[in-house]
Amino acid sequence: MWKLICQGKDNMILGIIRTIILFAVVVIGLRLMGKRQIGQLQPYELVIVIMLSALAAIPMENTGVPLASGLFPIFTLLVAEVALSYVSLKSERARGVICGTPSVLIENGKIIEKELARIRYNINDLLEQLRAKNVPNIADVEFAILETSGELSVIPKSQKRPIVPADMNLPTMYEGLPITLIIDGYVFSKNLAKINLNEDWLKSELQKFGVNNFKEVLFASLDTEGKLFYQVKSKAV
Amino acid sequence: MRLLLALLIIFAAVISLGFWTNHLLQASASELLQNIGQIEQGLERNQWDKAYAQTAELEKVWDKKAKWWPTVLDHSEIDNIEFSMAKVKEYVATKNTALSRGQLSELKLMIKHIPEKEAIRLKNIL
Repeated sequence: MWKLICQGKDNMILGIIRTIILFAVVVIGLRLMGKRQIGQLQPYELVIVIMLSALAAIPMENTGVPLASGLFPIFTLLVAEVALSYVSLKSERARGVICGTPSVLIENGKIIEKELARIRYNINDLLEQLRAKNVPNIADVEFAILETSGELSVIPKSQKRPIVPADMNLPTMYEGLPITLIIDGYVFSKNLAKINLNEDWLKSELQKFGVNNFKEVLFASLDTEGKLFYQVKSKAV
Repeated sequence: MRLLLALLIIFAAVISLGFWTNHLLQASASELLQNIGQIEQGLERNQWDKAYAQTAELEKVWDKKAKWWPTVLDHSEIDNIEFSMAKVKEYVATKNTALSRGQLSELKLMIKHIPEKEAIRLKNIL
């Protein structure tokens, strides 16, 4: 009986070790595949992600299956994904074959019926996507393009698009990215050095607002106009 | 491009490892089959002590040559071979001809089946 319990425990530990290994491998694999994976997936990328999850699950739940029979196919998929990405990066023709080509569904305000029928995309799908893009009236659309990722890009008619300062010849100031200086008490010295400032400057600035220790700060940033934003940590958390 | 190159190099190494593994499987399986053949010879000549000594030898060869098999093969197949080997040993020890022969031929088939199953053949791919 005790032996059986021990065996069961060993099996559990094996399962845990295998899960950690496979999880690490899949995470590393997805990281190597690049950031594009996390956003919009191309058809072949979606296939790879689905296959990866299935491949990792089998040796994870069944300790009788060698780990290698899960790891090698995962590695093969990783190589295939990276190779296909490079091929589609270098060759326009290959990109068309691998990723497909965008479909213009509305051109110069006119719905392209033939294209809708070809890709089996009905008017309701189109209206739904337009509403999701905050364009409830199809008459306001100049161009609508269905991207290879399945996302609909909408270009409204010039009369219907939001006004921008250039339309009114208004001068604007440069707006760069605010630089993060502190997150959760940790000071980003590299970011301070980039803008020729140091921790002493930051400390003196925070002291002006009664903050004596960086550890008290939840977040601090400096915008391009030189305005310091900060928020101290809440005591309750 | 560096990532692709590195991955392709590792991939080539993995493929070579696969071929090498298949070769090793073939070699160790044929060695085990040779041992089984010797046990069969012992049975045919009614030399039970010799046959028993060969079963011990088979176990030794199994431990030495097939130690790494579970890393590439389904663990249940390895378990089946080990169970079969234990049965053969007992049947030979009790000098039971029919059971010994039957179990030996099963063991032979199981060992023969392994490199065949792993070989790069259209039959296995499909």
